Amino acid sequence: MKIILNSDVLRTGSLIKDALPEHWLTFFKECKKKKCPIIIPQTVGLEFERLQSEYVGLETKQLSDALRLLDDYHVSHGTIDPSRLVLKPNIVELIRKLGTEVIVENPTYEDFVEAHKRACLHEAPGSADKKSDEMRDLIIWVIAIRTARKDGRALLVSTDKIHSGSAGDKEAASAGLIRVKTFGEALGFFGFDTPAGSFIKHILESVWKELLKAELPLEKNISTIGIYDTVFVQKLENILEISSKITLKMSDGNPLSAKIQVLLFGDIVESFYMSAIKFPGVSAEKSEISLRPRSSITLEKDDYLERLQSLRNVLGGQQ
Amino acid sequence: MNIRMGGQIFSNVQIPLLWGTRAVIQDIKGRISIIELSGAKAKPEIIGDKPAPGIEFRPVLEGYEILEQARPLYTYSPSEKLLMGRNLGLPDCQIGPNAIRVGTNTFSGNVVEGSGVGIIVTKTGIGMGAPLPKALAELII
Repeated sequence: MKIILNSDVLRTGSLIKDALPEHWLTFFKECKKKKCPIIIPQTVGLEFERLQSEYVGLETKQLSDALRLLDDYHVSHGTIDPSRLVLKPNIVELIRKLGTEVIVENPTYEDFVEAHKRACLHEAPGSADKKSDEMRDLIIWVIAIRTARKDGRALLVSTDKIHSGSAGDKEAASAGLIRVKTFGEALGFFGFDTPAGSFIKHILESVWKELLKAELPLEKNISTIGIYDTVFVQKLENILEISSKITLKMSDGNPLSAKIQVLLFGDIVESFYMSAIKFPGVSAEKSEISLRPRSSITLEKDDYLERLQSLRNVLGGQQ
Repeated sequence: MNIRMGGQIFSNVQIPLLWGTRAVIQDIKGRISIIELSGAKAKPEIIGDKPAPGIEFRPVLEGYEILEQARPLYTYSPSEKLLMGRNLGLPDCQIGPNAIRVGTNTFSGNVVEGSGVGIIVTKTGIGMGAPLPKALAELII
């Protein structure tokens, strides 16, 4: 399946030098594994270039200013040409270096005509409240719809209202265009473990033996089908409260669904409460299980007090 | 408050960056704190790049999704210093080493002095050197 990217998911707060941001890397590497080509519409490539050019200008100026200052103080330095040192990144090359296939998709004449018509007539997925860059968004939309229609389905990653709003629901569904807002959501769509899911799995591993002792008809080794609606709340004094809905695989292959509530004291699983336990074909459902496993899991050391003090220092003018 | 943040100098301002009703502040180690000011008291949601106590959140690929009654409000990426508006209807906001990016706009090398707010970001626009909006809680943690 092809994945079309909008410019808003490719924006950064600084110049991209040698490496892409970490979560982009995770996403592009997963696309390579799943053999999903990335489509960068030319419009998106140009917008990426524009923002990066601003950062190139900024860093070139800073470097020039630094050299001028060194000269003012008669500090010797080699010949440095900031404009040759600060380079504009090539997003296509950076992604290709990871081994991921990238296609730069130029809008066709028909794409322009279609986007132009929709912009003028305020047709879906646009809305009556006009935006200055609506035409660009519509071109990307038309390319995404065209790609999905041609291949049977495609995935669009965009946070833009025009792309993710309900006005485009009908057309996206008929074309087979799936829409997500972030790289994380896109990975979730591919069944990639989310960080929240990984954390819950980690906890389940630590209590699995106890769950088997509680006579739940689960597989001997942990096997999850789904983990969703996970909510974490960091309480004071190193206490973390977690709730989630889970679906586990039973020993007969059927799914078992339940809600869990977990209390962590530091890296110790202090309590594990399972409720609304449901599994098919069994008339007597277990309603709840409460464990106090006191098993330990590996957690990052909490530096809350130091972080709080650092914030207070800024607010108190001590920075 | 006097603070250098995202390539700007904020001198004698009350809030350097106001994202909707949330104050965004960077500490000396470059970590971001996000404090919600719409209630009667300031409510920290992110303290030094991590979720604050009492806040509902979910770890996601990008960092943390801040929730309200299990509904995602916004996502904060500590590695990218990026705030993504999700259901707040606000443009993305990113604190870079030399610039602050708000949506498609980049602020760099500005000095804001003696204002209530250094950079203000609302659903409808962006401004520099704005007065402190009324009905916000005092920024005391």
